[in-house]
Amino acid sequence: MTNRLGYDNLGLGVGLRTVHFDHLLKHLPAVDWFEIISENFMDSQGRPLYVLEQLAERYPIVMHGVSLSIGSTEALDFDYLQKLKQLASTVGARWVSDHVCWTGVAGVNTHDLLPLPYNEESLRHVVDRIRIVQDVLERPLVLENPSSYVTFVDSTMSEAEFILRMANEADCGLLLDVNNVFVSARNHDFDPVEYLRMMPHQRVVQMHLAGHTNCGTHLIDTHDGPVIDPVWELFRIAHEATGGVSTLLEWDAHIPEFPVVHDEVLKAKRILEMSFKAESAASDHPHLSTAHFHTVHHPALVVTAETE
Amino acid sequence: MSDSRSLETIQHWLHAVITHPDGIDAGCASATATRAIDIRSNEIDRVVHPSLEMTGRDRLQIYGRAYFGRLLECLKAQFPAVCHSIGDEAFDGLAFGYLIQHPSTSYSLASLGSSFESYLLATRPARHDDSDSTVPDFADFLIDLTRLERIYNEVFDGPGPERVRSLDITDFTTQSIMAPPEGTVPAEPPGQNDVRSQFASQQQRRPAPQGLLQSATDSNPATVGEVRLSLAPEDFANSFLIMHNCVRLLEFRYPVHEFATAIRRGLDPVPPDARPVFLVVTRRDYVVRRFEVSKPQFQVLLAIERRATVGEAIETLYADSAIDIRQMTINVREWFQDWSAAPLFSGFSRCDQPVRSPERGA
Repeated sequence: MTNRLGYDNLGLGVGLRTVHFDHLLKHLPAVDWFEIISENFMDSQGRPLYVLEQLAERYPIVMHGVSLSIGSTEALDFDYLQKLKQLASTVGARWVSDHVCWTGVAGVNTHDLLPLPYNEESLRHVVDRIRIVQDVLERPLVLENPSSYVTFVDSTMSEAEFILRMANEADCGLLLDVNNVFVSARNHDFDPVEYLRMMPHQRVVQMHLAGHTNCGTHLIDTHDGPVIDPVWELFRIAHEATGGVSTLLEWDAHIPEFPVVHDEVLKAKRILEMSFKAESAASDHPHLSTAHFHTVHHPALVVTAETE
Repeated sequence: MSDSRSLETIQHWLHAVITHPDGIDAGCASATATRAIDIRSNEIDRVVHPSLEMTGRDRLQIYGRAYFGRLLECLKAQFPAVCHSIGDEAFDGLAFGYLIQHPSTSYSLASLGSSFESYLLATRPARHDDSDSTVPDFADFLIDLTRLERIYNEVFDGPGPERVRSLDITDFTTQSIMAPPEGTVPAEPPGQNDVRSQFASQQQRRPAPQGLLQSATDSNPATVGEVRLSLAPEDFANSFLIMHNCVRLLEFRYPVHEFATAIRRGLDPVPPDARPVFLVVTRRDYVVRRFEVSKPQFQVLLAIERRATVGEAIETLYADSAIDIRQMTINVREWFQDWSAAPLFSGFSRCDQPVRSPERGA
C-alpha cells in the first residue's frame, strides 16, 4: 500500500540498537522494519555496518538522524549530507528523517535536540534548508516534532502551526512522535489532542512511540521505559486521523532484551484492533523520582567496541 | 513581550548559556552570551517563558544539566575501564575538564573521546621531585589505559580485514618462508649482511607452489585468484608485507589490556604492577582482538610497519646479542604463521614493484 509522499506503511518497527545485534542475527525476529540512528552507521566500517547490511537484506530500513541540525544558523554540512545519501543508497533506506531542531552553533555539536523560536524568520530559515537537503538527498525529507523544555518569548506561533506550515511550504514529510507531543504538551501546557488535530495528516509518514520520565514539575523524553496509557491514547487518535502509518518504538536507555522491546510495539497492534486494554503502565508517572532530576536527560546513543 | 531577536542571536545566547561549565547563571553572565543578549539569569524570563510550575531559568537548567550529563555518559561508555579504575566521581571530573577543552565538533559521538588521552597527558599531575621519572606511576597507568580503550573503539568501527584478502596461514606454512630443511640451520649466526641472502637461499631449496603468495586487488575473495602476483620464493626476504589498516602496534608501561579485559568480563581488578608490554591490536570477524608479543617480535612487526623488507625486519634482531639465532629461526616461522592467522597482513609487494594492497592502494 502506497502511503504519503510515496512512502509505504511498513507496519510496526523497532529502533535498531547495538545491544540487540546478536539476538537479531541469530533469531531474525518477525519485526516489520527497523529504524537506525544514521550517525552511528555513516562512518562505520565495522560490525555496526556489517549487521546493518545483513538486516537490510531481510527487513526494510529507515534512517533517523540526530545531527542534521535543520534549524541551526550554522551552514549546512554538505559532507554530512553526502554521507547520509550514500548510506541511504547502501542500505536501501525507505526514507530519511531527523528533527525540527538545531544541535549547536559556533562549530560545536551539543548532541541535544534544541528547540527553535517559532516565528516567521525561523520558518523561512527551516523551509529553505529543507529544500536544499531534499535537493541533495533527492527524496522528501521527513522531520519529527521534538520534545522540548522551553518556549521562547520570540515565538509568534504554536509549534503545531509552525510544523503545519513548514511541512506544507517545504513539501516534506512528518514523523509524528506522539510521546513528544505528550511531553511537550505537559511542559508547555497545551492540548495534545488539539495539536494532533492541527497536523497535516496526509504528510505524516511515520509515528514514534516511547517512554518518558516524570520529574514532577516537568516531563523528560528519556526513552527508558514502556509507553504509558495516555500516550497510547494519543497514538490511537493519531492513527484514526492519519489512517495508519509506519509506527516505531524507541527504547534508548535501560534497554531490555529484544523480545520485551518488540512486545511493547506490538501493543500498538491491539490498539489498532480496538482490543487494547491498559496493561502495565497505568499511571502517567512511571518513573517519578526526586533524587536524580539533575541526571535525567534524553540519552545519546554511542557505539562502543566489542572486544575478544 | 518579544524584543524581536534574530534566530542567530537566540541560538548563540542559548548555546553559550547551556554549555557553560559553571552553570547557566555563569553562562548568562559570560561574554559570549551577553554579546548576544545582555541579561542576567534573573531576567531569563525575558527570553524563555516560564511554565505553570517552573521559571524560565529552571527550564533552561534542564538543557544545561543535560549537556554535560549526556556527554559524560558517552565517555563512560567509551572508556569503561578508565572509569572503573578511578571511580565515577573522579572520572566525571576528568571528563568534565576534557569536554570543556574539547567540545564535540562532529556529527558523530564516535570521535568524542579521540583527544582524551592527549588531554590526560597534558594535564597529568607532576611527579614528586624525589621520584624517578623513569618509574611509571598511576597517572601513566591511566594514560596507557585511556590509549588502549581509544584504540579499541577506533579499531572496532574502522576499516578491517573482513572484506579483503589476507595473507593466509597456509601461505606461510607451505611456503616455508622461514623454515629451513632439517639439518640446514647454520651452526653460527650469520652476519648482519648475510641475513637476506641466507633466507633467500633457504627458500630456494623448496620451491613455492605457484601463485601461493598473492595480493588481493579486489574486495571479493572469489576473484582474487585471477590476480596473482608472481613472487619467486627467493624474493620473499626482499618483499614488503602490508599490514591491514586495523593493526596497531602498541607499547605500554602496564598490562592495561589484562585490566581492561577483566573489567569487560565484569570483574573488579585492582590496577596491576608496572611491566613493559608489547601489544598487537587487530580485528577479526568484526571483533577487536589483542595479543601480547615479545620485544623481538614487536621489533620485527614495527620494522615491517615502517616499510622495511622482511629481511631487513628480521635483521633488526641480530643487533640483540641475547637472541639465540638457532631458536629464533624456528620461532620466526611460527611468528609469521600466527601473525597471518591474526590476520595482520593484507598483501605484499616486492622492492621493485609498487605496493599492491586492497586497502592501502598503490
